[in-house]
Amino acid sequence: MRYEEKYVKKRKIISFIALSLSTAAAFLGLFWLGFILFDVLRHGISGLSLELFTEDPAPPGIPGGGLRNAFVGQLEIVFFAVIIGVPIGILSGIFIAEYARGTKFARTVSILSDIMVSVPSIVVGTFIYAILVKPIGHINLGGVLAVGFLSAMLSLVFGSILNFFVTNILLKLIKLSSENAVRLLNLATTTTTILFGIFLFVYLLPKLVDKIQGFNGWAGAAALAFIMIPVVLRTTEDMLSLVPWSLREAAFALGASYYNVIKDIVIRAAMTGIFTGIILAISRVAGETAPLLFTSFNNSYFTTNMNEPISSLTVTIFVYATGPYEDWHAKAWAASFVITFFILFVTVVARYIIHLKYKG
Amino acid sequence: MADKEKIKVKNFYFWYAGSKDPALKNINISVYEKKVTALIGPSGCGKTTLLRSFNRMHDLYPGNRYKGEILLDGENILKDDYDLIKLRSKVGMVFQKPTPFPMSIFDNVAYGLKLRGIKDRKILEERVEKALKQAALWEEVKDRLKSPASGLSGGQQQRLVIARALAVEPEVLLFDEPTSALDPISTSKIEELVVSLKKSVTIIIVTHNMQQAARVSDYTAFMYLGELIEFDKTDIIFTAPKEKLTEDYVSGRFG
Amino acid sequence: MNKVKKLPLKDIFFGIISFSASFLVLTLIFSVIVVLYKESSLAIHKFGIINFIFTEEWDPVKQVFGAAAPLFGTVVITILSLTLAVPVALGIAIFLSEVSPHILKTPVGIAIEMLAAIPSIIYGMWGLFTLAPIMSEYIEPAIQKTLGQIPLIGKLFEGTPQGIDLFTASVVLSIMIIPFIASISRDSLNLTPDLMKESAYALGATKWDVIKDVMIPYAKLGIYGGIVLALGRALGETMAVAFVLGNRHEITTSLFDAAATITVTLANEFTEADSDIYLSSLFYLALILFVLSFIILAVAKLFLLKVERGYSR
Repeated sequence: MRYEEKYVKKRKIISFIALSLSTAAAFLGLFWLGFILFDVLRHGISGLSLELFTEDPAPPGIPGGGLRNAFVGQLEIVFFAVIIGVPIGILSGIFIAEYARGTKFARTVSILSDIMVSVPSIVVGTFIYAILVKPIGHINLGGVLAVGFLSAMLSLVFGSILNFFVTNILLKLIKLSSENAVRLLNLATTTTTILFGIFLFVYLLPKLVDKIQGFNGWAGAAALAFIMIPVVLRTTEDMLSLVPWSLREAAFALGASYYNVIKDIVIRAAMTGIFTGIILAISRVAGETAPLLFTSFNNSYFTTNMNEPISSLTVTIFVYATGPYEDWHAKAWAASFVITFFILFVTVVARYIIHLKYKG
Repeated sequence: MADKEKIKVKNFYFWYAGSKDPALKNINISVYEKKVTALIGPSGCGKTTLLRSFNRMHDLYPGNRYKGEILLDGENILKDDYDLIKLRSKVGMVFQKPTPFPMSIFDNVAYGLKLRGIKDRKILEERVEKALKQAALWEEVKDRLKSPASGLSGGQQQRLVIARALAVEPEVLLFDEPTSALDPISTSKIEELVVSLKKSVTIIIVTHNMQQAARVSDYTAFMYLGELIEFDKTDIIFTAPKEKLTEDYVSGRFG
Repeated sequence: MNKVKKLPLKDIFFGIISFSASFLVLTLIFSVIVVLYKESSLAIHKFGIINFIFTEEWDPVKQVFGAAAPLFGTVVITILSLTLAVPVALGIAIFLSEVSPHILKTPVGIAIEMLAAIPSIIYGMWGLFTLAPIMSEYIEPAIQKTLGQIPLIGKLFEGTPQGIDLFTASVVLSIMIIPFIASISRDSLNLTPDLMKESAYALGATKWDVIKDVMIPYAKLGIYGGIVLALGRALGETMAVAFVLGNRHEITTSLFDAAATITVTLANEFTEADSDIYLSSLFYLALILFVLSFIILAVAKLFLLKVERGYSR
């Protein structure tokens, strides 16, 4: 057929224009990134000083002082958010990827947690406020639940450590004569862990519950944990699904229980991915402000007591930036600088780990 | 009456990006007009690499290098200033897996025509019908031209792809293992098609199935490790090959 | 070794714990709905549903509350930010997928992901201290002098450009959601099989033809999913917007006016609420936002699930 040269030429020009526009878009994106980072760098660096990390805030309007309370508070809140959120996320991820693999239950949990991930973080804040901050009659139900969780998590940690000690150290030192003796030892470990948990719960309850009224650090940690859980859950689920079934079959054929299979083989194979997922989840919540606004609220004084309102870096930035003082603005920038580069650093490192693991 | 030469490959070398050793070494071959030429050989011999040079598919991936000449009707298509779109108007290609575009049957076949600026509804309908008839698919789809191409079976999709290539009225049609993903019945339909098409188009077909090559082609080229070992009329290659290597391959001793 | 008959204690124990964890996740979502509803019931009974949605008045003193203004603001900046973000994000996705030379793909890709990792409060800071002044001094007056002169469209740009307004907030938000749309779209585009692209080139298509006629239709569902996901994100964003929107409970026709969104209202007023009905109205707003997000995310999930299923063939 006749070769339509003019029309083809037109199409080539259109193609060139379209592709140039897409390149321009990419440069625009890079431009925004550079602009924002440059600004944070520019304003933030000048506000950095040793005092920022070592001193507490000065009274409003009086220059000087630092943000020690905010740094410490932020670390503490994120720390407890991780303690609450990560085990729940991993355990539920394991359950739906292993025991309940392929069931409707698993699909439901998976889909709901995807939705949970995108619930506006400020709505999470209002939810946690309603159950952990606002007093409900005379019994703070939320507080009881919170203490229950805390005890369960801490006893899980305790139990894991105890188990590790028993299996790897004690059993190597003391050669036990029969299999039943080993079983008994395992039973003892499990019972001890449960008892520990119950004891912890009973002990902590009076200490924490009647004091949990009004804004408190636990609520802030819980709000952040709420955001972390679905992220960790989905990552765990995805990573575990990637481990080929044949690996599990080989272990079953050797007579291992499912629990052992999961613990020793599957988790180990998926470990890097899960670990990176946790890191990314942490970097995500470390920069959150909205969920803390009505949970941990803010505190201009230094405290490590999670039963009270506690200062956080992000909320402080919000308060300071919208406040009237120049000194406050400078501090807000300095704090922004620290948070931004910390989070970016963590993100890049996490991505690099993934890159290494799946390319090399 | 001597067969007319459509394509002449002269001292052709080809390197994949980043590779020091050439994937094709000193290829000299003629492809005759309105005949079916088959390229056969064991995996990795370079037959697909050679095929994809005829429409310069390799240009899509930066870093590939050519040396030598490929003359189409006397013009060297490897020259830098040879218009690739013009080349692909003359030389069409069918791939080893059916690749219908995410559009209707009609739009698939009409795609090449629309690319060339043909907008007239009547002309498009005529050309689409003609191409589908040539590809022996018209009867099966004439009542559902607007339905998505993804609804067709594998064999039908491959014939659709052939119709799509034919709509542009190319002079040469390249087939890269066109039946390797199809069932035996669809395979024989495609083979019939190839034989019937040579009345109007010069065909080059790559196949790893020797029986297929023997069934459909007029000329056969046997390749091994990037070199052209032997090229001759198909009957000679399969009954009285001159090279020992050729004989070993066609009698199934390796590959 | 006769462990096969009896189910090991460890399995039961671990199974129960991990089941509880996943059951907890299930209950958490439902708890949110229940709690939000309970907290807003006071306001729901006083103001009803339709009435609350369409009342503009928001008066803590008279104790009359209506969601119209925050809803309006939420809808406006969501739509506007998406309009600004989608073309740029698609352009970036196309660049990363087809245009970019191989060595640039990773660094540019990482740069886009870094944009996504920046906490929203930083966007807010940057918006407040850098962008808003630029907007009020240069960009907004320029727009008023040009687009603002056109009869009907000019109404969108009336008023003194302060920089703290719907327009600035939308711009900041759009920059924030670009990376989400870009990376999902890029991943979807990359799913197009090479053979299909080659088929189009073999017919004489240019690169743009291949992108336009083959890749984008192929990736359509994934791209939609990404856009809807970003929509959900924009809907619920607080800090990027709170700094540069003000908190004005009024519906306005000008993009250069301050306004309110549900998230910004919550952020500013939640801790100030001094009466039960005030707090309940705020919870009511949160409930509305939650329901909206839920619906939008369910839609996005639908698209993305279809993508997964479609490509398992």
